[in-house]
Amino acid sequence: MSKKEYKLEAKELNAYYGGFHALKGINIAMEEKTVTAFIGPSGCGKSTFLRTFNRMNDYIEGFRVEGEILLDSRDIYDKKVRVDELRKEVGMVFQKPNPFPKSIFENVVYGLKIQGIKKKSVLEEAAERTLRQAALWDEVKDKLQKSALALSGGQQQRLCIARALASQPSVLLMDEPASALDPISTAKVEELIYELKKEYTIVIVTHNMQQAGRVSDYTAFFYIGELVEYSKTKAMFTSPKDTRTQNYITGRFG
Amino acid sequence: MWLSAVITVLITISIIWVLLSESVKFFSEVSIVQFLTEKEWTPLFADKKFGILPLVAGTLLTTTIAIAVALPIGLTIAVYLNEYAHIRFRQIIKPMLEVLATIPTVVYGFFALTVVTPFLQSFIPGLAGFNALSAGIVMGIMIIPMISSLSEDAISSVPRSLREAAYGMGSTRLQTAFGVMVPAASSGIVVSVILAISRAVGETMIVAIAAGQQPRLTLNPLVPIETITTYIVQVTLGDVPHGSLEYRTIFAAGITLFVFTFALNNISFWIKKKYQEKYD
Repeated sequence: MSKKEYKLEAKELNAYYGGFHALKGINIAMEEKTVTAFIGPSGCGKSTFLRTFNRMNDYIEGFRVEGEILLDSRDIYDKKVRVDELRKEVGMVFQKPNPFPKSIFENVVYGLKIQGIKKKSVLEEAAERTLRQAALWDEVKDKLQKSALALSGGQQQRLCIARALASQPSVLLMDEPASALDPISTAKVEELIYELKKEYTIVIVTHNMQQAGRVSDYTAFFYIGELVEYSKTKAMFTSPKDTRTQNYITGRFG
Repeated sequence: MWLSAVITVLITISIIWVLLSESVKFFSEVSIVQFLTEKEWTPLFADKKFGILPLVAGTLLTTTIAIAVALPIGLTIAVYLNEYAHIRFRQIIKPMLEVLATIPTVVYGFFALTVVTPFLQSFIPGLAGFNALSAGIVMGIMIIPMISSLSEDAISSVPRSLREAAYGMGSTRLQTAFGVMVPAASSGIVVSVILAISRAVGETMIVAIAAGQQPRLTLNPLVPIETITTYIVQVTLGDVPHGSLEYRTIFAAGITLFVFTFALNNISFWIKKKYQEKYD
């Protein structure tokens, strides 16, 4: 059997905030077009780890990594990699919806515009396609020129997902994308994740165990900077191997 | 405590009162139409003309030059300090910039007259010894810290999440700064510019020293002009008898100036109020 090609991999990854050792020797590999959930108590490093995949930690003073992060078998911390190019390949959705204070349309096409695409027909086509993908088109098609800030929180978050998709990434990182949303909006975002995994490799950080169970194929449990357990979601939730995992998912701490 | 507040209010009211009452006396002798439409301002000459336009033009000219200098530089500094500069560097450079604002304006005036004008003359033939250009440029330098400091505050108060969104989309620093941060901070930046304008409109010493004192209805920056403020200085320093019509011209000029700065301050106040915390 030939060696399996993974979409995303971390090899012996260590990360530090100054003297603080935030991630400790993490090894993980994710297949293409799967959803992987990162779970664990607050401060366990799951968000930090997520942000190493698009190098969002680069701007934090004193942050450094050792080891490798591979995207399609290329090391993204290589000096030759351009961060702005990397982030077009690896999109991100944040915890709090953060649309730009611009119109809905301008938000969606932002990624294309910074790539120098100006043709109106291309932008309009992309806007409709990604808004449909994000299940938002029907709600906003008549008010594309209205401010994105006038949308509800749930709509804003789906707009942010559409915005991320417009740059045509292959990986989508989601940092607790539903934690600031009401249950109905949360359900919509979860449905959306389920749809999106047909085309994208998705990594989602979540505090919500049920959510991890509902949306993900694989789950990784982090504890104080370590990857404790990584397996198929069903397996982990039914028969966790490590006692710490077991304690966490049964709600004994966290 | 309340006394000092009352005193402040009383002083303001009495200033406005003096301005108004003296102007009313002025306008009883010179019609407002004449004041606003005549193209010459020669109240101190035998052939008296009372058109405020040359002074307004001079004021607008120097102010425009000043803003043209200060806005791009000030905004670039603000963006640089916010997006690029190391935090230590920012901590050193910001107070240094603010020192620019503490230099007495008379020093700026002499700087304009004795350094900037000769320098400009070396490559702009026909530049008069007194001119609006060098006064405007130096005035611009003076108000740079005002724009850079207030704009920097405005940009740094844009929520972090917007910067993250921009970076997360693959924006470069430049795209993040000018495509997202500056537009998001635009209301604060506009306020800083308006305050800078009203500072420039009211600026006296630099233009009195370096721009000449010749009321002239022109937009040519290379010749001597006079601004509203310099005219007032000229008359108060001269031997114009109190209570005369010539003397009252300064109140008419003063109230024009007051209308300008009052309007600008109100606009900035209004913008601030309307757009403040819009993104929270």
